[in-house]
Amino acid sequence: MPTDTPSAGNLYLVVGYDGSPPATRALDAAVALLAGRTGSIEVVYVAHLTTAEMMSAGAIAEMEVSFEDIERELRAQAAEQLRGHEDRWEFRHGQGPITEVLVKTAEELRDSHPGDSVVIVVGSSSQAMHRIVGSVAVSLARHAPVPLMIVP
Amino acid sequence: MKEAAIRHAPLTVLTVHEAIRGYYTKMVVYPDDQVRTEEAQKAAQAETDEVLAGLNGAHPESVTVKAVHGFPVEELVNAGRDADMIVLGSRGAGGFSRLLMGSTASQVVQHAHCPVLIVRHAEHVTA
Repeated sequence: MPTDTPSAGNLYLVVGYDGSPPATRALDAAVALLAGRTGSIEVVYVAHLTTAEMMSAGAIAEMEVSFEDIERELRAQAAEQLRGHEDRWEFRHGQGPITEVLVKTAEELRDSHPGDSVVIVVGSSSQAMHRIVGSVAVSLARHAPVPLMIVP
Repeated sequence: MKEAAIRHAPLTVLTVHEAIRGYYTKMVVYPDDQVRTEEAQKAAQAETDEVLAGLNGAHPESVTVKAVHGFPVEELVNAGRDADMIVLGSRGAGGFSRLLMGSTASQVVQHAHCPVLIVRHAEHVTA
């Protein structure tokens, strides 16, 4: 066993989470990655009103209410999945294009924890990524200011 | 590599001397492939040594530098079968700059059996 381990900063993992099986696997992978390290997991649910400009104010308000319901359910689902495995996590809810929200979250963490590591973790075919490596993963690979882990 | 050192994890550095896919055969073999593969191995070993030296004495449990002659995506995916993670640059030798993600990276992601960590070129990674 080597004795000289480099000093490891904290590891912050930003997990894109929509409750789908790939997102569930992404969260599991994040737990495995954080094992033995200091740091935490940010479970991020992104609600995106793609056609907001085409909807009435009433319809938008209604969708936002349903996003709150979804958020509650997803938070409970993540808590259930993580119970007994990892308690260093927080649930966040963002609104806007998924890539933007994940990148922004990662940037905030990186800027507020200099010297530590931030990694974005996504499933390879979550709902937002219908095609096997969809637009989100590709766009993240291009824009992510931090390393990106794609979980099959 | 620092991450592997922190975790005392074994690390394999894999470089693939890309084979030419033939019309009728799976792989076109050139007489100097063997030599080229050995050159790739030497280059990869030199780079690996440089990175290791930068770690100031800390080492992953083991570091293996391998060079093979074949198709990069296939070789990487196969190598990843027994791995916990594949680590790739987002754009390597194969990419047009207009491609969003290197074609090797995106194909590896599609076929990999384990998580794939994509690190952008020129990005400073501290762990």
